[in-house]
Amino acid sequence: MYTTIDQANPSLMTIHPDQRYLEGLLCNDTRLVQEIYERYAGKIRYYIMQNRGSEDDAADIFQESLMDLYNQAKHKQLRLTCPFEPFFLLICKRKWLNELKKRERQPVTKPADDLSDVGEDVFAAAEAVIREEEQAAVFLAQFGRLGEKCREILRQCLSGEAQEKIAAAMGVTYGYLRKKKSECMATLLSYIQAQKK
Amino acid sequence: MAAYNNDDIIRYTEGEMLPEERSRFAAAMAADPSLAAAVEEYKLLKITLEQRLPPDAAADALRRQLTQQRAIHFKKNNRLSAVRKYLTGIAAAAVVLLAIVLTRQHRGKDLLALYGQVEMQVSAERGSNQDSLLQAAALYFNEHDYTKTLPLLHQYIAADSSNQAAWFYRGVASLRNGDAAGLPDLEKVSNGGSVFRYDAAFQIALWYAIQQQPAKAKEWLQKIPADAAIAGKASALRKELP
Repeated sequence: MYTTIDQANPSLMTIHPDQRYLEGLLCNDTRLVQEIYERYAGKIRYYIMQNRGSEDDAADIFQESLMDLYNQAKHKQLRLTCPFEPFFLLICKRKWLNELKKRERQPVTKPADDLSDVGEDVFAAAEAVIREEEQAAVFLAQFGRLGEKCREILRQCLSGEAQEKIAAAMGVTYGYLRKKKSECMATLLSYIQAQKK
Repeated sequence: MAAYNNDDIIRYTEGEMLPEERSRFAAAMAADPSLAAAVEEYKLLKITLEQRLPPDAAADALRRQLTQQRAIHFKKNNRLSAVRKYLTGIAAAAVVLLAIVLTRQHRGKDLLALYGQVEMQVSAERGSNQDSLLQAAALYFNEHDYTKTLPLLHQYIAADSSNQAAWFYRGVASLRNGDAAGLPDLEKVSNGGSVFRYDAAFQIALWYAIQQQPAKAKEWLQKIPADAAIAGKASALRKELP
């Protein structure tokens, strides 16, 4: 079976040489970032402009997709076991289709035809990247709606520092800090749940 | 899931339930996929915030790099030019408006009204006498009756000097009463590590701005980092200073 990406157990998979692109994003390698743009910017520009998008839309989608890959590589240990090109182009295209959906427009070309030339595994992996990054964006957006104090308390409490130490530094009791943290997290959860309705 | 709420989900995930309650919750989760999904969502939320809330200098550097490459590999289109013209128009209008605002300010506009809004928030933890003092103080503070606020906060701090919130609100109340005696309270908070430290620095800067001492105001504004919650207001105040 043609395998592509394995986030769960990368040690069992053969890492594709194109993993260098992900490494390039992680360490902000100018040459590799430039190479990504040189190779794929034209393809994404063409696809998006053929599908009711502008050059700016293409640039936005291209840039956001690269940041998604950076986040996945950094936080989810994404490892590439297939060539970079079909995987990356698919992410860009799916993001654009989602954007069109948000704008309540129908894409001009048939997305299924257009995207059918990649393996199922590549498709599933690209979908997972988009789904997880959209989820993270929702979490962070709703976090931004919390009051200043709640944001600060959660920032501190989720920093990995010992809670007792944080409470002492904040000049509050440990019990108070735990209570406020739970209240803030419960509020955040309610925002996220309300946003889905 | 109707029998359980978000507090329960958090307590279960954080291991704060007693064994019997935990078993009941686990059984309910096994029978109710929506409850199990809510628990998974909470776990995902927590880990996402743990990973993504800390400043990420590498991500910032990559964003700058991508913006540079974007300018090379994608052209600005007409739509953007139109938007830019529109934005230029708005910017010009904003400059005129700002000039008017600044002129007004030089004529004595009240900086306090613009930047001095502070609401005292307290959370009753133990229902003790100390909590009652804080709640009463908050009531007067939020009604801007600082003369009545101050004795309550004096009394609170005399009994418990560890609460940085009390020091912060006492400092602000003193300054709002026109009394510079609030400055040491705020300096103490600003030098500490509490969630009020940057708010305290901002309040000191605001005081000096109102007192027409821009150099001192700027000095305190510089203590506020760009990622602090109050940074936006601090930046706006900085622009108001000569």
